[in-house]
Amino acid sequence: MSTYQEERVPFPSPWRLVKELRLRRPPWWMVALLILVVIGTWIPLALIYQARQQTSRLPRIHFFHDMDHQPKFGPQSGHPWYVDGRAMRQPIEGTIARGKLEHDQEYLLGYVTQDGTRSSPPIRFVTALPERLPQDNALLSRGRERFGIYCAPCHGSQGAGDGQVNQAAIALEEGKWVPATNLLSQMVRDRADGQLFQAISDGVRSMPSYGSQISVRDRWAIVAFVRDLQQTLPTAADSEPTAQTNAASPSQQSTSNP
Amino acid sequence: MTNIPEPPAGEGDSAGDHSKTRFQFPRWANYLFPVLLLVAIGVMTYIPLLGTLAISPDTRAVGYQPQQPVPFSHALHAGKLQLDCRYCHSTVESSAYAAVPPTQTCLNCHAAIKSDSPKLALVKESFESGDPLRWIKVHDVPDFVYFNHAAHVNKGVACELCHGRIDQMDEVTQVQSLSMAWCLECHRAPEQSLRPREFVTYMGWDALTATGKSQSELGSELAQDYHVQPQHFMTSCSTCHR
Repeated sequence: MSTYQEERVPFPSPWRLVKELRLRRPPWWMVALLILVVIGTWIPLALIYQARQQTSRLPRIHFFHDMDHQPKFGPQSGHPWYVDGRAMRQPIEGTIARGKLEHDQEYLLGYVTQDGTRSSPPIRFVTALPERLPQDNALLSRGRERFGIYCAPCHGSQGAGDGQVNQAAIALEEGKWVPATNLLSQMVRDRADGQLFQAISDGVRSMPSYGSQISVRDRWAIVAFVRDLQQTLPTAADSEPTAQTNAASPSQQSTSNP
Repeated sequence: MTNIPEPPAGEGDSAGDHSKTRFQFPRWANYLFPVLLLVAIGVMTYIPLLGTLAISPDTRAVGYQPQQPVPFSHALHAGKLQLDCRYCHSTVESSAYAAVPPTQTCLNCHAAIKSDSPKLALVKESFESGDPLRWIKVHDVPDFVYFNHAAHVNKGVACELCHGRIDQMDEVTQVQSLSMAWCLECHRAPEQSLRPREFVTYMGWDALTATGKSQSELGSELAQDYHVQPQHFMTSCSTCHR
């Protein structure tokens, strides 16, 4: 096959030109393949971009397992071998951790019982904060913080019974909901420190027990903070049970809460 | 135009008549080498790039949002009702593990509020039977990482920093990669992230608006107050891997 340069007439005929260009260019399918491959490289990148934008119900893929998952029990993990499904065994009831034995019943319970055991009813509530606690600002600020976490949702940050959860429950018109007590009311002011402590520990009326969520020391700190609130803020006169005691508030307060 | 299978005498001379009998590379083959070179460079760049992006924790770990057994909304409880994180995750300040609360904690309020809601059926069932609810762990670091919640929270590392704006999440989603590189970002410069202890559970807290100091200025002061360990300790292997 000769090319047009070798022909007598140097100008190519149209047919020749087409053939010539075809020879210079690679076949169309090669060009198409290259374009497809280049476009195709964007598909995984697009998928990665999509994966970064979206949330996933599936946990992450572990390409290298290394020791990511070791055959050991983590906190609150489960194991099918145990009947209750928990990997961790519960301590036998009444178990006391080493070094955690506490004899001071007034400090632990806020009251004194007849025979010194927890199961018998209280005969006398503690009327002052335990002496082993530091009576300073650190205790009060700890109490304020703990009160903010555990009490304020219902009782409000100033103890006036206007917490968010309480408001929401009232707005929902929940039949079973007992509105949170105003801690500034005379009824609460009249209670002994130990009684407040016991209310936090074991719950009172519809209020649940917070003994498992708040440590003993923090419960006393909360009592100290509530007392501080009651001293700085005026007595509230709202809820029905306190209506009668309100009349004789100054004298009662001084006698029952030395 | 004859078929003589004779080798050419010289290199360029006898192209004419023998051209049909010999294989000739088409002209476009001249471009084959530069094109292949470009393709090779492209492949060598593309494959590592793709691999890096694909196995990056930012791709695989971020955005994990498992379906929990109970449709608990942090946006409602921590956001709208402004419950403190520690109301439920009460062990976070004293323990390495920020415990998922027992069912009793749910019942603190839900014994009276929405107690008949079908969404809470599993919670009620769990409380009555004593079987724990099987929540699915969202933020899960490898077992060879010993992350201690108490150590961080008590030194002013905010919840928000690792868990994101939980108060805006209906379903908890992982927003940080929790990769080692990500941990080290903070371990190398803790002052860029510290805030006063009493604000660790606050969401959307900003140093400048809250204290009037820049984050690095406040952070350096707090690092000193809280005795944050020096960098050689913070970046030592055995600090996190034991």
